[in-house]
Amino acid sequence: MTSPASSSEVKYLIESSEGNTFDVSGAALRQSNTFNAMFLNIGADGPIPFTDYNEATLKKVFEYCEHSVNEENYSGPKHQDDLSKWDLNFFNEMDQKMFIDVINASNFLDIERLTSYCCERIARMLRGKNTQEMIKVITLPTAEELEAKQKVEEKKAAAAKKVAEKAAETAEKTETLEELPVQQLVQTTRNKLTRKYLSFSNE
Amino acid sequence: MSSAFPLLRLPENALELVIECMDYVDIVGFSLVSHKTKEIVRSLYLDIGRLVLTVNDIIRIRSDPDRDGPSSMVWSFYPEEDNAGPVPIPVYMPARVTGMRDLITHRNFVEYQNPCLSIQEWVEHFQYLFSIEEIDYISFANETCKFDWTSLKDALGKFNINTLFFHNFCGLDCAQKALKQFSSVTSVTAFSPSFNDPSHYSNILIQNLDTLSLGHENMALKIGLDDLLLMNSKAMSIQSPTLTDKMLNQFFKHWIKGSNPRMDVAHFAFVNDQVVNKEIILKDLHCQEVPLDDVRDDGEVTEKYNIMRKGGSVGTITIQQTDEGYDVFFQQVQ
Repeated sequence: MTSPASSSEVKYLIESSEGNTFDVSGAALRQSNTFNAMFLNIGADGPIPFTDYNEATLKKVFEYCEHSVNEENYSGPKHQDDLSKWDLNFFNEMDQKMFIDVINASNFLDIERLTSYCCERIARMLRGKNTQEMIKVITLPTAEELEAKQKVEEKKAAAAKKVAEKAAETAEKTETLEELPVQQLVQTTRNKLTRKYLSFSNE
Repeated sequence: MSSAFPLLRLPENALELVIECMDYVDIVGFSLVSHKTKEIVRSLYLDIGRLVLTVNDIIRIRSDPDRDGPSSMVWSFYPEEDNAGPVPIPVYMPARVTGMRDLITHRNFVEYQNPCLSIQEWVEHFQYLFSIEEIDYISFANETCKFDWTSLKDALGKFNINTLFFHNFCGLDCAQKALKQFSSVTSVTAFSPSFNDPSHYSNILIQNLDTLSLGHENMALKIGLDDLLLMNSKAMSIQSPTLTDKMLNQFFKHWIKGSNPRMDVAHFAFVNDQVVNKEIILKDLHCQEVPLDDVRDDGEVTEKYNIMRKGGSVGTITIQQTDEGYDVFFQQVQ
């Protein structure tokens, strides 16, 4: 399906939480630092599993990436007033749920431009408001949610420790790993990706 | 997006990015939402430069006051009722608080009604959020202080205050009381005409300060040799129409003999286009000209001379002529 020396014409198959797959160009996908770190150099033999996000969210995220393929390199947040008409439409047509899903997916995929624009958009929601007015805009977590989050943080810390141990173990087996068939390598990477996301999505 | 936004459920790095996109006035408001938001803001190590307080009709906190940067803020604390009477009032619990980027354009204006935080708590909050340990200065610009001094000391006295700054119409009595209440300050800057006659505040001249700055273009400071010799600060800066080259010559002669033992640095600014004659300043000082290779200043005309004190200390006199007139600097080098 793909090769490490992907050109912009090469398409990658993306798998969503529903199990559906769809094409994304290599150029669009390369805006994701997560993808670059995990798949760019090794390629993917099957669909790339971003299975913690639904198809609509992923399509929205990659719609943005496809659109900004030819934009100059990202160099920090852009003032919302400077956004193009297309960008503004892109954001305006999302409801809140989709917007949050897009931020989460964009943050996980580490797409700097999109994440940054989303965050600036949120900052604008709070602009000129005092604390009481901000509280009306923000949903504050309940005590139960805070407790749950604390537990997740503890789980994350434990998972991170495990990953670190695993990484040390993997480092010892680097030579063996390099000899693995591509299919197995992708599976290993996919497992890593899923593990990373699991800890994230539990927040 | 009309319904409440679950901001605090965003991933930590996305939340940090949101804060970095906010104006500083909004960041302060956001930090007051909850303990968590306060800690998140603090963890970003945002830099707001200097923190200063102004005590006039009302009390204000200003950050980064000398430049119109993104971290410039003015927070004003208003009492419930305006007190225009002559009786000093206690420092109040603010009934209304406004924050904005600057007082001229009112950019990023935000208003709070009865936020239930005392002025002391606001200052503490700023210090905590932005990891600032000291208040750079407290300024007084009114002839008299509107606030009860004991109450003012209770509210602000616990902070580490660097400088007391007296300017505009600040009266000498007000300044003296401020110095008495905030006795731990290490620097005093007086740019108010009330300080024109140094004989009225010799108690300030003799204080063991780190820095004493006297004189401003709006003042007619009548400094004399005796006043200079009384000064006991490590650094002093004088701008006065009564400064003369002959006075400085005598001052340096006294320094050679042992006067002003704590002085490390001094600056004398001549005003009213007064021409300084270096021959007069250096007369009988047995000075040595510092070779040009060692002169590293960018002024239009700069000359440096070393003088030696009894006991071996060396001081460098720098005479600098710029578009704005003459300045003479002194620095003890050994």
